[in-house]
Amino acid sequence: MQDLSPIAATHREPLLKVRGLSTHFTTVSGTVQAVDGVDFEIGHGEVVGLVGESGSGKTMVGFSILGLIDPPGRIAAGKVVFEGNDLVGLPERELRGLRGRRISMVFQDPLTTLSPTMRIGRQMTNVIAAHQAMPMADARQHCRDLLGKLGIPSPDERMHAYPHQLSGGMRQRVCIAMAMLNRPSLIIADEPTTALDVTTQAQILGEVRKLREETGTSFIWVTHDLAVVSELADRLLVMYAGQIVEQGSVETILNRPLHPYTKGLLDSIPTNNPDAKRLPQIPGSAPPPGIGIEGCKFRPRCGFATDTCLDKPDLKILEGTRAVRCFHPQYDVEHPLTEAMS
Amino acid sequence: MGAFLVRLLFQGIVTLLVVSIIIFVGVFAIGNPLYVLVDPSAPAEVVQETLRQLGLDRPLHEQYVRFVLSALRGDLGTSYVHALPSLELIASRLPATLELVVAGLVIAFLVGVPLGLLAGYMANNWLARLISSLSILGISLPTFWIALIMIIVFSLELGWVPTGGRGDVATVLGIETSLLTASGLAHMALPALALSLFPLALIIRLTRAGVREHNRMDYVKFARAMGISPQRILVSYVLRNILIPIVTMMGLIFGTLVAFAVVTETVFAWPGIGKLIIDSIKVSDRPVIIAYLLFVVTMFLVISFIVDLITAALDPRIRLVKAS
Repeated sequence: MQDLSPIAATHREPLLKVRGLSTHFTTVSGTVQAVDGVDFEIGHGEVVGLVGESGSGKTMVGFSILGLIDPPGRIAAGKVVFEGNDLVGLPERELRGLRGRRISMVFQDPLTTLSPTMRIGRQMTNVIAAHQAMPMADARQHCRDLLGKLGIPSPDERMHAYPHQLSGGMRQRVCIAMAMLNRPSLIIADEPTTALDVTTQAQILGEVRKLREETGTSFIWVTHDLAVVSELADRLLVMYAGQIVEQGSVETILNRPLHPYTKGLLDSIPTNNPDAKRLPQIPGSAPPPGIGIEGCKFRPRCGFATDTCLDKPDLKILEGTRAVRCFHPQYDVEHPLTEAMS
Repeated sequence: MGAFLVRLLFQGIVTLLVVSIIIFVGVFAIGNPLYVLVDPSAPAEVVQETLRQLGLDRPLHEQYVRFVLSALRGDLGTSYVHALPSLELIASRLPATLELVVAGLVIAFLVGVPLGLLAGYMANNWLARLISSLSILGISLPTFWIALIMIIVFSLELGWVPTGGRGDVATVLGIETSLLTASGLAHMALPALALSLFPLALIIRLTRAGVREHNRMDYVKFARAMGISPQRILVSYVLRNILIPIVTMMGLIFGTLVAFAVVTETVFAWPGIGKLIIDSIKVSDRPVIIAYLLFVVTMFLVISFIVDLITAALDPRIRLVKAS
């Protein structure tokens, strides 16, 4: 997992360019800024980890890109430029043509993502039929092949099964296969392994990595698990309260985190702190949605906060893709990192 | 499946036995039918003789045992009034009611499900609101009143269809039906429509609620994220999953309509089973009342069995064979 994959070099424009994306939910008690001015890019064939606590808005970034924000939510501002076209404000019909064909998504809980009363094979071929005319026999063959590549034994039988007859891991493999059926150039994976046990998680990560090398698909891998994402991603985006607070390559972020929040996240991984009697944790909890915080949103929980932090920090670009949103980036601290991330 | 059937049969027999005791005691408590059947001014010997012939001079438990014993031979008693076996009476009136109820339910299903899907899918546009409001009317307005209004409008004012009666019938496999003659269909149109309104409104509301609930679920959002068209999601994903409660409710409604179609049948002078039971109650025709009530219980048992089968066919997670 070095730099960008070779394909990326041949393209000037990134595959996806998100600029100033803000997604708001209007509720009786006010407006919730689930996503608050997010900028990032995804290169061709690149895997980017989107990391943050629950409620930090990572899932909403995914849904915003696909145009799947339902009322009372809406994209309040920003651009989502995908393969040269801005998707924000695109008619629903055109968005639908992109979903599942050019951009796909995998959900967190495989137990609820498939329709319980429809056979796996039918649900899979529906995804093909939604976008292209392919003879049924070919479509089924294509589905079987992909299931096989994702490590599903006897895919023929699985195609006839109903979702409840498969384990969680199998079902998530089916969902991943469905997301890949039409060879999209971008897949948004929303914590796809969180609901699975560690062994299954490792297997699925391995299979996805292999398939990705084969197809060159770009991924946005949403997770709160830094260990998972460090195995898979080229680059990390760290989100807090709807904003990106730090970004950079996996190595630099894991070795030299600059934002106090990122540092706190890394410190709270057991293997990073083998000697600690008690695992350090970030004091307090993420602000409930809708609570406006003046200045830096992490300020109330931050040990380095000063009066300066009452101003809004910008995402400062340091070098290349490395950027941090903090008035007091922690350059001087030598982080006790560790091979143990994997 | 075999074990399931045996268990069901056993449950059915116990239910019937218990219900028959309740019915028997209840009907006994209503009073002695004798004074409806015999002229009060008849000589005492005649009254005594009739009492003895009908077995009404025996104590309650003896009457019940005699009833059960003959019921086991397939004899549910002979109508005091019609002098015909009560089962035969019911069987002769049942087809008229059944075809009316089935027609009403088919209308309710075919109209209600699409309207409910529309109302649930469109959420807040005026058409969806109109459908929802009308469905509340359909639930709250009394059937007999709607039936009378329909007669006034469609029969008396517009003259499109007759006001009542069954019209010509065709006989298929020994069963008379109105569905195969033009006159029969014309006669059936209004009562079937009137009967369909209540289940129609219920189906609309159930479908609408189901669509709204399921549209928020992950599997729908995932299907949308895969680019599957909204129509397809609605019909082949959502509908299939919400059909289960709808079918269950239709089973219950079917039984209720057959058992209590009395009002509609009376308004439209439809010679169905509802009219038979009302007439029998008026003259305390005990054997017919008892046979009818037992028939209704049996019908509900059969309906719930059929609903179980349909539900299992719709939902692969339900397996009837689990018991074995």
